[in-house]
Amino acid sequence: MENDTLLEARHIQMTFESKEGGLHVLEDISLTLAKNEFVCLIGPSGSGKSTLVRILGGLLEPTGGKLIYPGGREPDPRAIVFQNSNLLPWLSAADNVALPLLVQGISKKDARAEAEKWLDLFGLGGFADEWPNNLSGGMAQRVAIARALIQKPQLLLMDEPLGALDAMTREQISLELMAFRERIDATVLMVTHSISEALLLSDRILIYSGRPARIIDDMKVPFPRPRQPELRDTIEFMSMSKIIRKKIFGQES
Amino acid sequence: MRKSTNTDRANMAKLIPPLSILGGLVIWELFVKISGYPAFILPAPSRIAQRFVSAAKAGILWPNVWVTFYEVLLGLLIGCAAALVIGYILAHSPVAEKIVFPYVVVSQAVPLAAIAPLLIIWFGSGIRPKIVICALTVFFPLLINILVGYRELETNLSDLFTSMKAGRKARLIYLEFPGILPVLLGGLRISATLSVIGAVVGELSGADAGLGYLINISRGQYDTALVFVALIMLMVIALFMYGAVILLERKVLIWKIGGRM
Repeated sequence: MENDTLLEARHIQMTFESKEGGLHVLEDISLTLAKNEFVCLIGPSGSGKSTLVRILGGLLEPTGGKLIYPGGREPDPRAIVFQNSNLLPWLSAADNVALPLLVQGISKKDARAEAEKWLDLFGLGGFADEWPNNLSGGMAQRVAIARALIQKPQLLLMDEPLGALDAMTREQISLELMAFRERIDATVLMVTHSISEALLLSDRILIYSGRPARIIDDMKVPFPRPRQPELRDTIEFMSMSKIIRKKIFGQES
Repeated sequence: MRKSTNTDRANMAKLIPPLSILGGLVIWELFVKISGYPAFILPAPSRIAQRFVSAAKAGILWPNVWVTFYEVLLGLLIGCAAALVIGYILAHSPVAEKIVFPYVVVSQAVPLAAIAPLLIIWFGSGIRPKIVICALTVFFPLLINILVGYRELETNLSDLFTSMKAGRKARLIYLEFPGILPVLLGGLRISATLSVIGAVVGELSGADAGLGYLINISRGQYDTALVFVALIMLMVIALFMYGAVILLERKVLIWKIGGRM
């Protein structure tokens, strides 16, 4: 089991210096991610989850604790899907998806062909030449997810990727993600506020508490994969979501 | 019915600016006729138009227009290139910014008209010092705009490039240059007309060609109509440059306007 660990975060602390002294965003976070595991991190907003994602993504150096890679090598590539789609407004949808390949120096033609393939998979084949400003929120976030997946990431971090979307689009994309989940070899950590999203997609759910920020529970999701959307209507699913809800709200005082 | 009156009104509105100019010219013409001022003090528009034709025929107009235009354009291009290179360095190195920025600010505190004679001592009375003055004139506003553009680049986008392990070149091509372009073009609009001022300032302090030179010569001969002709040509150059930047903006910032590729 130890050999299957891709990444281990040990006692991560993060303090931002400010004029009034240090702002402790993360006090003591420890977690492990196994290879090819889909983990959801669920908890209240404003509790440093985005900071944790940035640390795991290598964008931010923690002020305490460390990241350990049992395989000896950092996961590469690490792709991040941000809360807002974070598309470059001056590149077409296809060029946005192709961007990671272009950055690696892959020829424009090949990158573009690969990008169009990914857009097709997300049902956006007709929008390849569209500017991001002309895309709806759901389309833009699909493009952002395609841009992450085209990198064939070893570690995929998603920071509330569906948080800014309306309920219907949100559900639709989470079903698409569920289907993709079976096709990609990646370790995924997804931050979400939706219990049913977490139950539908993940192998494991980390329940996160704000102030002080720590992980208060680590639950295996018992449903076999691949999963179907109908799973959500089963009694097992509903009772699981009740347990999680209790754990999230039970610890609030 | 209502719709047609609206479009009529819109068409009328479009006619107002040219009519306003035309009206101004008529008033000017009448004022000169009535007041009886001699042409060397205030030439009438009709007289300026005649002088334009005769100067063009005599071959003293277009060569000078061309010289000034050449100085304005080259100065703008050189100033813009310098601002891009130095802006890139300053935006990426806080130390370089601390070292270089005092010089940039001090250089702006010196009135360009005052250093123009100095540049003419150094570079002679040809077009070179004028190009330098134009470049210096446009450099500062462009540099400031470039630095503002860099500051406004979203950190989220920068994080994206970090997570993709993008190199400097990829960052420059896909993130930084297109990201600062809207602000850069805004600066270029202002600089395009500033550059014309720079060229004239240079030419007035010593030149053997250009519209500033033409103004100096015709002033000496009390050929005030020719002074006006030169002024109008300077306006035309400034407007042409401004229009060219607007066209460039429409073409380059098409993603912002929302058109199709």
